[in-house]
Amino acid sequence: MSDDKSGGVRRLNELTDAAARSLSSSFRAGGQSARVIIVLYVLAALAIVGLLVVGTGGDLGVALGGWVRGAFGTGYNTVQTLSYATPLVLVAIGVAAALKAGVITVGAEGQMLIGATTATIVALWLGPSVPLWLGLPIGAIAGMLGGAAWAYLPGLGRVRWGVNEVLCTLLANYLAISLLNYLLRTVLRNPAGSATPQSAPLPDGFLIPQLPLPARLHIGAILVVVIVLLALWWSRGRGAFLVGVFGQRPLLAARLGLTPARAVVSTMLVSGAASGLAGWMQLAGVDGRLQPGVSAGVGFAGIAVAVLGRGNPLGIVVAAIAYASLTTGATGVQVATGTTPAAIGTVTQGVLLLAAALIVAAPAVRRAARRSASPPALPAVSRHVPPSLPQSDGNRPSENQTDSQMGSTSSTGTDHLDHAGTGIDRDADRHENLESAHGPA
Amino acid sequence: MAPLDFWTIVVAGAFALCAPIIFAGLGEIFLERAGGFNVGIEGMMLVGAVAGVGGSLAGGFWVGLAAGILAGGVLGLLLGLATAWGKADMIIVGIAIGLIGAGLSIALYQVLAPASQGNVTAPVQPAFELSLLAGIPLIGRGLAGAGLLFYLAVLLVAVSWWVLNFTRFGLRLRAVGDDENVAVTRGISPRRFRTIAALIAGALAGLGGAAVSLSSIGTFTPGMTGGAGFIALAVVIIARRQPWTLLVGAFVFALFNSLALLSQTQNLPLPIELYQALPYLATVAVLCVSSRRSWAARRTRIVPA
Repeated sequence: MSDDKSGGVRRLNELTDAAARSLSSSFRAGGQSARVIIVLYVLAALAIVGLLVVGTGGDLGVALGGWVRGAFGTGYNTVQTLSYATPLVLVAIGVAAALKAGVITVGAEGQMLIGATTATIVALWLGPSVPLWLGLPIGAIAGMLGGAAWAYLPGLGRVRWGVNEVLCTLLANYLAISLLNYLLRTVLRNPAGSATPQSAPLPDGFLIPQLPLPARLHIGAILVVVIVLLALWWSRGRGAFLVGVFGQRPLLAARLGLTPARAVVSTMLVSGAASGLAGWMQLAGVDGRLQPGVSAGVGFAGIAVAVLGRGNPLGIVVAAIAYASLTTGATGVQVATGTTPAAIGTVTQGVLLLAAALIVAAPAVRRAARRSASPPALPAVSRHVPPSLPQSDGNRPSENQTDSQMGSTSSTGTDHLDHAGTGIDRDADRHENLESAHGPA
Repeated sequence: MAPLDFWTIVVAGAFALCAPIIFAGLGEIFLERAGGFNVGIEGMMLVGAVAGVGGSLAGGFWVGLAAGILAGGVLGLLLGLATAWGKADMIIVGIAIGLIGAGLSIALYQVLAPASQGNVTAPVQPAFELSLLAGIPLIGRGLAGAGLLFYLAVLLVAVSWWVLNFTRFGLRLRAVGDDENVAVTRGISPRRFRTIAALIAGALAGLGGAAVSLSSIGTFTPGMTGGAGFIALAVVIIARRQPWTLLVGAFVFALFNSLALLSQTQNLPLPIELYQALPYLATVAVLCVSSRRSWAARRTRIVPA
């Protein structure tokens, strides 16, 4: 048997590395030139959805009309779509920061739940005597702290022990659900009694006021706009550049002053805080009380939106509105055709995400086709160096080692960083990437 | 209730619950051995579950299983084509397939059983009682009544173990996963083997889904697999991609599930949610310990003296 004892985990870590690097680079490189492939994928995606509509006995034109009406047809529907998009934007901005650092977090769902839970606990504990101007920031901060705490543990596991963050955050979602169910059954149970598990309604001082619009959209949406602007400002600064460098070349980032531990933990905290804030908004702006369905799939959808928006704050806003319109529009499609089920919205979201993943990878396909005759490229330096990897020169560095030595033993540290330099030169493609990214910064 | 009786019931429940996790996990083992990874198992299982109900309605239990395999296989092929040929990111494609599967299963069920007609019930697995084994204490009753699907799962574990370790196909599959470049120099196409592995993974996940809907319920409800796909993913990691270890791991998880189910009716000392969370907590713990060990091993290996 060729497996060593930790084969599964090691293999998974390598996979996560590769995925993280490709995602991180797709966030950096803007317009790729493989337009033909992209158009083909989009057409294929549209064809699949069209086939589904026709297959269930619907008319394509009617369905499309129904979708537009359902999503944007009336003022009410448009606001409804924006209302769906609000938490998506927030989650996606957080997830995008982590993805840029090459950290794949799928834990937004659980972080939202925990954020909403802590906000509920704080609100019910402080009670109705708190005025609105104090209740809103307290709730928001409680939500952010809760979400960040739930993200901190997987981040810590990753930098301390190399625990795979994809699995860890995924499992944390389930733990969050169990915790929430437990609290709703015991401590937080609605004292007035109810058929479904839910908490008592939040005091008025903690509820987010609604905007004066035909449908429900709370003023948290304005905060989201501010956060988008902040993210836009941040994405042009040195911090975002360093995080991006870390996503591609952890060793180079260390040389520029960003240690792996700081990069991973800080981006995880940001994504957790953003998700927790989104959880608070759903709680205090939409539901008004804690329920098990407070996250309602927004966490997973946020990951999709982050990828579709390619990590760019404005791209994320567009992607979130498009994504939300698929949910609201699907109801319109069901009403218009009468036969096509509303679940078509979920399918379309999946197809869209699949198409986006293929589009992001399109340049890689072309590259692979171009050099299919040439020998395979040398493997890039990995964040997790497998123990069985033949170490040709015996001291090829890894980020793990830098992690342990960074700042403690300066002489060996610089020695390894020099090796890091050679590691970069080995891989011409990545070098190019880095340089092109350096331009606008 | 006497403690032995109580645990007999828990074990019996676990035997009945573990088949779907084993099926889906076996598929994931094939895929991971070839260097793939599938976050979309859940979606494939849901489509398998609804196809299983449809097939079983049309032509009985076995047709249902075949339909589940077919439906899961289609999504598996999609995963294989997108990741191996389209070079798309595995995790994103997995999430996408999870979404497609979840939506498609609901849509298909609405076509199969329109809301106006009410619920449908399909034939479930035929009765299969091994009364010979019932005499064994503790596990006897569970083994005897575990059902056809459980024994089919054990059989498939044996077959997968043999295929992976003792056939040319298995050797090549592992070669692709271990080192793609070496595989290429030996004339093995990584793309082809990854696609085949994804196809197997999808088909087995679909079978697992059909096992959920056709074990005793015979109908479909949205999200009925209840996270079994993610549990399978975790069990595969814990089992280190070995079929027989997977069997044990799946059983342990099913044991916890069974405890959680039972705690809803019995008066157990700890909250239900703790039993439900235990498998996940255990996975996190195992993940931390195993990662930490390899992490420590790497450090001592690489850092020069």
